[in-house]
Amino acid sequence: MTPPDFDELARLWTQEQSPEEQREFQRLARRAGRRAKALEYAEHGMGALLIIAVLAAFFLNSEPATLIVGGLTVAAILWAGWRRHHRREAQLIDAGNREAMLDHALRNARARRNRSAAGLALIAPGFLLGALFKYSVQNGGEIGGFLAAFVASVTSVGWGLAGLIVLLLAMAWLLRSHLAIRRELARLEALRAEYREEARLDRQP
Amino acid sequence: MAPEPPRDALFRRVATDFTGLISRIALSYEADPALRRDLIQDILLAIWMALPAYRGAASLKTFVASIAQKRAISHVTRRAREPRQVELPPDLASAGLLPDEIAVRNDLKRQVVEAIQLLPLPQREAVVLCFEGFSYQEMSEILGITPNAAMLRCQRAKANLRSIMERRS
Repeated sequence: MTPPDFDELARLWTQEQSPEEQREFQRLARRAGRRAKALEYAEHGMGALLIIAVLAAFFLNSEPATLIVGGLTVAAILWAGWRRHHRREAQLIDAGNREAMLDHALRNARARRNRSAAGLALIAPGFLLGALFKYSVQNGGEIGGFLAAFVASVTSVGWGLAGLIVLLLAMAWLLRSHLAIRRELARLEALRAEYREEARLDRQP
Repeated sequence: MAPEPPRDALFRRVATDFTGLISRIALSYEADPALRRDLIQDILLAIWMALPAYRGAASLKTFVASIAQKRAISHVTRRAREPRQVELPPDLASAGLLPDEIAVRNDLKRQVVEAIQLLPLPQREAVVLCFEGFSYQEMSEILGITPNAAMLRCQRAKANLRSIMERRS
């Protein structure tokens, strides 16, 4: 079957929504507005609380050093809030430039992947080191016989086994999130390649 | 009664005038209805946050479409996979049509939506904007490319869409 012409497809695509869909959309819009306002109030409230705490500290101890540190803290809070607000706005309205957007997302995803890989690599040695430290504290600095004690503690019902189960669960969770980040990274790289290919075709005569 | 703040008034206008545009952009990226609702909510939240920066240089429709497209792309990359092909709800009908006409139109619309969801993302963006009636100039502002590139991309996207629909039927 030959598909209809493009105008007919466009008419189909833009055909009016059902009243039910429109009502659902209005509900989502109201919820989004409320959520956005709540987020803004929470952000302003947190800033105001910090400033009040700094001012209270100044009134309790009105030394010049307190004034300088307090003033700098208030200025830093206001500046950070202003910067965050403008960066968010700029990111949202920076129309177009998909490659820059994808590059930014790729950098973030790579940083998250590296952090998650480091977490995965360090969690088991960290657990062992913690157990070793505890053993040495309990035995007056002695670490001889640690391995046998460790194996005994994790093979019998008790805190050692509970700790091992928590460790395994944490490792499973970390591994799962690591794999998800890798999938996201692969998708982002494929997407950037798609955009580059499309941009190359755009330039062809 | 106190006048409505400008941002509230603009947001109300967005929620009233661009219901279809935002819903359809979300539909072109997300087939799962529950995830699509999340995406629409995410788009609306982003629009609310960006509204103070709207100076009227471009039309509000272009502004809204631009933010919606960017949010949708972020959504797709976060999901790290192409949208699942979920059955579309049966109520895609237009009012005033006979039942068999409605069935044919629903079937055709389902095919269009599925074909759009199969397009590569850069072409999907272009074809959706074409369908929504944006000019090449407006498309170039939204996509960050030249109007000529927008026209070429639209042509490729249309050809690709037709070939997908032909293959699938």
